[in-house]
Amino acid sequence: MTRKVWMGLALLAVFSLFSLGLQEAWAAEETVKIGYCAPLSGPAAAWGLPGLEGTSIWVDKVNAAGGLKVGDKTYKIEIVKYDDEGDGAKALVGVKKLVLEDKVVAILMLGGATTPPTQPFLSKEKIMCFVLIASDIAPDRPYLMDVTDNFPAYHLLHTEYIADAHPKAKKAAIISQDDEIGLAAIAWSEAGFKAAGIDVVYSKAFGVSTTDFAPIITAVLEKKPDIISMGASYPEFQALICEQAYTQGWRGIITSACWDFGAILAKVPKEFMEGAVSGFPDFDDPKLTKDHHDFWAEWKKRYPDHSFSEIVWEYMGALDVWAYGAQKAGSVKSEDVFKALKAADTVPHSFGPGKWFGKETFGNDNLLVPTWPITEIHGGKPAIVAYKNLFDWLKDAKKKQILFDTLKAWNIKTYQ
Amino acid sequence: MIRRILVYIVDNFRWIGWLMILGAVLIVLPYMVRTYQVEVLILLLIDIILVVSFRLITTTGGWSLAHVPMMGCGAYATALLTAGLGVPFWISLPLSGLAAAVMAFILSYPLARTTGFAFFVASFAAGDSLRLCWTRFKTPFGGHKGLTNIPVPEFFSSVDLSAPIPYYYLALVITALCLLIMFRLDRSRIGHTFKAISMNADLSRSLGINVTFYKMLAFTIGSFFAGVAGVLLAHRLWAVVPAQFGFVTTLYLLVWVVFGGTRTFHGPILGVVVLTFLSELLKPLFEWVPMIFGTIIILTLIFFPEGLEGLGHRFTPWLDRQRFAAGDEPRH
Amino acid sequence: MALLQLKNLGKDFGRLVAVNRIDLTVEPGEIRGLIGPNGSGKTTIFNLITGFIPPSRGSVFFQGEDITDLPPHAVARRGLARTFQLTTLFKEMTALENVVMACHLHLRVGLWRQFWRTARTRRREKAVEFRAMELLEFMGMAERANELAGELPHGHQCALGISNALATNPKMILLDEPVGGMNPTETAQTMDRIRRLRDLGITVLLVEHDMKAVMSTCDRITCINFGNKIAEGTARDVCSSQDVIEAYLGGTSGVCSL
Ligand SMILES: Nc1ncnc2c1ncn2[C@@H]1O[C@H](COP(=O)(O)OP(=O)(O)OP(=O)(O)O)[C@@H](O)[C@H]1O
Ligand SMILES: [Mg+2]
Repeated sequence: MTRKVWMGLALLAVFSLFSLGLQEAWAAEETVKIGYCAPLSGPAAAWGLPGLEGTSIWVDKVNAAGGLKVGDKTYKIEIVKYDDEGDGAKALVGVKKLVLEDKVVAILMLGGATTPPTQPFLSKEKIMCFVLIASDIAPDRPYLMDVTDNFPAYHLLHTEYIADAHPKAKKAAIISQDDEIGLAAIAWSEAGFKAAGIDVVYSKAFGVSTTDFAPIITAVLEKKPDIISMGASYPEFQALICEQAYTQGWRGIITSACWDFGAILAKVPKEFMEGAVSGFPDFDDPKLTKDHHDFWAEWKKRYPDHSFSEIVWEYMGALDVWAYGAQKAGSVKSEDVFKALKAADTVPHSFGPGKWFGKETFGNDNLLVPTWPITEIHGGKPAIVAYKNLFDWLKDAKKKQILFDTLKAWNIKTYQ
Repeated sequence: MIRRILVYIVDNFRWIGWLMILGAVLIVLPYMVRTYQVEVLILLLIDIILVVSFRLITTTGGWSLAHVPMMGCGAYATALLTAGLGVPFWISLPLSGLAAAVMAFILSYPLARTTGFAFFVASFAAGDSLRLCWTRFKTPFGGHKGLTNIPVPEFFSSVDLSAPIPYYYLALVITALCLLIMFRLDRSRIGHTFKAISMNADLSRSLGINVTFYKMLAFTIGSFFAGVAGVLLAHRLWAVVPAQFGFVTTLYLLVWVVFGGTRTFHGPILGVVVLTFLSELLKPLFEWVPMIFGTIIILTLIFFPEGLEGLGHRFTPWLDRQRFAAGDEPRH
Repeated sequence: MALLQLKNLGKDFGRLVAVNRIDLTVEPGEIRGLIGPNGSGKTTIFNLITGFIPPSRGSVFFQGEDITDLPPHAVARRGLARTFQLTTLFKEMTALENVVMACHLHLRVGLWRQFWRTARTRRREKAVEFRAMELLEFMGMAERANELAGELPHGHQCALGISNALATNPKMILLDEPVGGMNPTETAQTMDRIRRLRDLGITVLLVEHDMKAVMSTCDRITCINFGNKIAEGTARDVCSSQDVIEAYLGGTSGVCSL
């Protein structure tokens, strides 16, 4: 009897030692977790779901190479996702789970409605938060950064390019939906056109529940614009706007923050969109680097029938920046990475070396601005036609004044 | 033997016993779960106030699509009162509920004169115009970005209500209080009158009941509690954004209520609790969640068209059979 | 003085003249019959009197007061009760709960007191329940008090409908086909109770297709057709009126088969 008990205890001891040893071995290969808290279902899923494609390719590549070398340690990377459905309350639950349970060191988020409820907690925990919407940057959100998408600043560059490439185009109309990003797009585009010497003959937001664009486009065309900017209209609006402009006989230059070509080309012929201006190349563009092309090939292999959009790579772009910061800091601790990134003179952005910007417009220098590509649509596909730099644009004091005046007129807060 | 014990327990635990057990569970619950899940529980408590106050309005016969915007009214009111004017939370709580109630009272003047589908549509329009106000007027509502820096409720300095567990208890106490009041109301003559109106409005009129007045009353009281729910939400998120009170939230509310049923007081509570737990359980399945969720809801409604509360009625005959098998007379 | 007086009362539904120009006077203590073929406008007249629909012309006086523009609940409060042709009950309540609900007006307790259920409220509620039981007894429904109203047999449902109307403590009651679908025994009982209402001081205006019941109960009868009054008087007067006989010739049954 007693012998049996002793035997049992001994076995238990061996087992526990063994499992401890296992745990040790496990721990030698350390994992660092990064949170992905974005809409994965519901009406906003299109702004969250495709990003997982890019991040999973990135993670697989890093882990296949043995992990990310930070200081003298090598980390495997793990993405922990949480579906916030684009809802503030759910996002708060999500970031708390990610930070407190999963111990993530950084969080990728879409931004917008989920930012105000989550930032107080994330700032307190000093967890870096990478969003895709620059206007979420604010003085009281030190750890919130936008290191990929340059919306709405790139509207200044698109408009400047249009003025360069089409000297005859003199009148522009701007429309976008009446929400935060739509209004920002209108204001920045208007500033861009004005600074480029183009008359803005129409700039107005339409309601987010608009389904009939006939009256709006009629009103727009009455002003005889040479250019129509769709601002940051949602894909479903873009298709309807293009269809109306086309059927009402308008021909001219179209520009928009981004596109969903599938939807648009279902409504209008390819020729109508020829020469349309934007800032998001496909990653197989010959002007881009081998890294981009490799990514494109891998993405095409994994998701042969998905359509490409900037959402696919923008969350991943944030991972690139984070990894750069971690390696520079020699640590994955959120605060260290943050400091290293902010201390760097230039930080590599997907489109090349970027500099920090935003103090005057958003109250904090947390927007990473590279030299941004300008694309034109040719044969239904975007192609890079130029590169432009925001800092060059801002060097002209007169243009800068126009920008701030216009933002003020649109009731958009600045910190000049 | 087991049968006998089961029947004994069900028969002899009167509601007070059940309530005490429930209370005990609710008190220890936050210590049994993860920190972030306490956050889920807090939101659940808020949602419970929301569905029960929604049911209060449905007892007069109308399904209000303005209920979530009414919650928004409470949230915005407390944001303006506490963050803007420095009013203490404990004063702002009833005041903001009252603000939602006043708004509801004004809206109910035309709304109570519509019935059925017209009420559905009119209440949606009313709610949407409220949301439009919040996005349109940057002062004082902050436009699309909403209002931030909503203070943590103040309490004895030893209790930090920014931490999840203390806030859970705050929400628990307020929810219990709200439910108690609404339960009293439901069982009072006023509640009976509401139900009479939904059963036969014309007859109620002919018996001297001022139907319009009672409909306005239900809408106003229901909105008061929706406003209180909004206050609790605003002080937890420390921010209000108009998107929070959009149609998606309304859809969730309708799903909870349809799933639970509106005939009984506990029906909608059952609905929101079960669905919240379900969605927490299913969370790791991500993209599949809406599909599985939808299937469960559809199946439930096929087998229990009255919602989960219908389960109780199915359970009673079974219990009677067990009693019979245990040698007792069925009770009635 | 007349208890109820309709002056030139009329209602058009679009092109259809449902009620043309009706003058009608009912004296206190009277049992008045209102007859007419299907679709002649009887229910519409009830709806006009009780404020459920606004009249196109004319006015309604009750106890000398103009009640034409009053909403239904206000009419009920002045002591003018009615039943409905189809249902005058809350289906998902028991018979007793129905009548208690109908006693609503007599609770006379403010909202606040109803909510807190003070001792006074509870006493009132007890009294109301007692009175409701009395009314059920009066209509011969006492032993069915705790059954669901929707599951009662048709005759009992009609009786319960009348109990509900009586619970408002009316001076006058408008009954829309109270014995429709009852068997002869039930009909006789119900008509007997209606006669006893008069003894309680309640004036009755009765719409009924059962001619035998109408003729044997009513003091005076008014007959309408296509929204016009075509005859008025005692049962015998109305029976012998040429207009009435013609109006009913197209119908299924003769008028005066008694
Ligand atoms: N709300 C309404 N809208 C349009 N027409 C109506 C309405 N109510 C009644 N009518 C019409 O008015 C006429 C009179 O209807 P009413 O119900 O008063 O007849 P009735 O004498 O009560 O008939 P019955 O003996 O069948 O109950 C009918 O032709 C009916 O179709
Ligand atoms: Mg009729």
